Amino acid sequence: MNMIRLTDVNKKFGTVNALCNINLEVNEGEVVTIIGPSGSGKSTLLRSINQLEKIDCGKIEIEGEAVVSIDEKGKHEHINKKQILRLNKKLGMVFQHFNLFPHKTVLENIVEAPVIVNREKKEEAVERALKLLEKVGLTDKKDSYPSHISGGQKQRVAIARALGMKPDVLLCDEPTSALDPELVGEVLSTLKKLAENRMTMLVVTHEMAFAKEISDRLIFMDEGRILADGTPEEVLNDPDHPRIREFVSKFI
Amino acid sequence: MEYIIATTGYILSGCGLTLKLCAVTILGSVPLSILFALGRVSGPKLLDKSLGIYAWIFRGTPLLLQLFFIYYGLSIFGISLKPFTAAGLTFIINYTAYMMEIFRSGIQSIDKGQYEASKALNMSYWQTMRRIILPQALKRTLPPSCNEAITLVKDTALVIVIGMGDLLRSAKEVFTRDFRITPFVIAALIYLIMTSGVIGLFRKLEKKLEVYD
Repeated sequence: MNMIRLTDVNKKFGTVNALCNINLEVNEGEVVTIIGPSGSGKSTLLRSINQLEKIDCGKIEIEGEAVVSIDEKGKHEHINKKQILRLNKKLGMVFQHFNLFPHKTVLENIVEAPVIVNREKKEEAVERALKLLEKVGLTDKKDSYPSHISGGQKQRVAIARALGMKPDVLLCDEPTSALDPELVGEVLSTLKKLAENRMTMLVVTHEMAFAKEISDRLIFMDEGRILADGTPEEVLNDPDHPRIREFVSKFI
Repeated sequence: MEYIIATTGYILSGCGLTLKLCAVTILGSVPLSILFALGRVSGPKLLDKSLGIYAWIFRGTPLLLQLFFIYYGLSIFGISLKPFTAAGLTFIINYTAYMMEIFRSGIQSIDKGQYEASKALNMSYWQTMRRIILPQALKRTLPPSCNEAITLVKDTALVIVIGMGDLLRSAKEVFTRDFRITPFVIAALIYLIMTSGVIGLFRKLEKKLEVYD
């Protein structure tokens, strides 16, 4: 099944093209990684999918239904709020800077949205949260506050928090970029486990080895455009794009 | 000694009004100022502008003048308020102007990532504010709020000018009668005890919320 589809999506920040005619599909169970130089629009692309960024024009669909659709003249197609909320609930997001709620414990961070947004029973939400914590290996930290755990642990909690809403797709915006090098591994292995369990994921990252290892598809972006979209081997060895070779060479 | 006890007793009888006025002001202005702060931060521009003008007027003129205006001034237009009503109203309007700005600064100091995380978890505006932003913002505004609470305790003495009997007025009465400095010393001590109580309360709150730092 087609989980996410972007059609002719455009966005400008002032005069800068952040996204330029983006067409992209992510299928169920697929792990898609986006790489590219800073300022190439990778994060903007990811953030526009769950509407943290407003696009100027184009269409974004989640599981075949539109969440936003704007024609070239800037005219919005009306989509009711309930539908947008229902579709957005299929997306989970992991941020570069974790964005955990500092005034809530690790467990409370995970339980918060299921109880408040989805009106789940507290006991059930807690039970599920504990299972998620076990999955990310942080059961012993359940009563800690975010300020008392390491960056890698924070990001694993953030992953558990996103999974707490039972998303169909996990969006990860540079999940390891804010971490000390020795903490990157634990987060990547958590994500890898998810990938192995066929979680649909769209990941923006600078970790080339990781991207190569877990991705079904690799996307290379530059100046708001998708320059290449294919298997990691195809993209990384693509002789047609000097920009890609130049970029990749910096990582070897 | 007996004189001191008797005088203290008399002055303390004025204390009730002071405390009542403080309570009314806090109960009125805390929720109002949170609401107004939210209005300034996330409401339409016109609302933000209007609240800005409100803060400009009530922070920019003396509380004493505002008290005169509402108690005596309004009676010219046929609106005559009881002294306590006038005092309560004035204090609420005045303190809300200050507290609104304090809470606004608190709300605006919260990282934008907190809003994004809430949105990504599909929390509504009110859920985000109530559960995520305000608890953090209010904690950060405890120190300046403590300042306001201390000032409030002392500002209540102004109600003397509209003929109300608070603790300072009782002290002044005893002074006029006996021409001794003791009643003022006692009044000062009572104020110190009350403000110490306020400081202690805020310190406790801060300590309690420190757990997540």
